[in-house]
Amino acid sequence: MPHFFDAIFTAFPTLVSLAYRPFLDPIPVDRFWMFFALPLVVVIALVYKSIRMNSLEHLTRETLKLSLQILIFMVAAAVVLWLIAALL
Amino acid sequence: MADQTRKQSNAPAQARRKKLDLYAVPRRVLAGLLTWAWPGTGHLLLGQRKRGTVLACGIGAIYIAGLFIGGVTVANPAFESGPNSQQFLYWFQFFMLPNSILVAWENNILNQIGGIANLLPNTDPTFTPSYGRVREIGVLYLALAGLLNLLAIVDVILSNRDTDTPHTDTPRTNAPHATNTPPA
Repeated sequence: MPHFFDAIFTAFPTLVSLAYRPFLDPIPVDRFWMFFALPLVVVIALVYKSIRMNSLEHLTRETLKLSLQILIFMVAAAVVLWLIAALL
Repeated sequence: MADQTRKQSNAPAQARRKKLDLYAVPRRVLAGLLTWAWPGTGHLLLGQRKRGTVLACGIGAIYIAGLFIGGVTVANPAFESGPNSQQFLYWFQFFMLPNSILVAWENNILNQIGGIANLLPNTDPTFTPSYGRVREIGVLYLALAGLLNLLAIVDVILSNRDTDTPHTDTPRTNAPHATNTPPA
C-alpha cells in the first residue's frame, strides 16, 4: 500500500505540497481591485430589495434596476469629483 | 349585512393573527439570534422561505467571497497594522456570528478552554496575512456582509410580514361576491 502512494506522489509532485491553500492564503487580485465593487453593488441591491418588497415576484428586475442606478450614480459622482479635483 | 359577511370571512384570519401574537416576541428574538448566526435563517423560521433563501445566499456569498479573496486573516483586527488602519470596519463584521468564531479560532482562544481543545482540529495553522488592496477588498466584503446582516436582523425582529406574499384579509374564493339582496 505505501508503494502505491509513493508512485502517486512521484507522478504528481504537486499533491505533496500545495502552493495555494484556499482561505488560508489570499489571492493576488491587486490589479483588478476595482472590479470587485460590482458584486458588492448587486448584493446590496438584492438584500435591500428583498427586505423592502412585500412580494418577491419581481425581485430580479427590481434588483437589476437598483444595481444600475447605483452604478450610474457612482460613475457620475466619480466624474464630478474628478472635475472638481482637476479644476482646483 | 355586507359588514357581517366580511367579519365572518375575516374570522379565521383574525384568529390566526391573534394566535401568532401570543408567542410573537420570543419567536422574533429567536429569529433575530438565528439571523445573527447565519443570514436568512430567521426569515426561514418565520415562514418567509424565499426571502430567507435570498438573504442566506446573497449575504453568505459576500462573506465567503471576502474570506476567499483576502484569506481568513481579514476577519481579525489583530492582523491590521499601519497608520491608516480602519479598525472600525472590523466592528461591523461581528454582526455575523461566524466571524466571532473565526477570530476566536485564530487567536487560539478556544485552545485555552480545557476540554474543548481536544474536539477541535489543529488550531495552529500558518496563516498568510494579506496586505494592500487585497486586504481592503476582503475587509470591505466582510464589513458589508455584517451590515447587511444587521439589516436582516432588524427586519426579522420588527417586520409584520408572516410570508413572502402580501397578507390579504379576505381569503380567496371562487364564489361570487355577496350582494345586499335580502333572501326571499
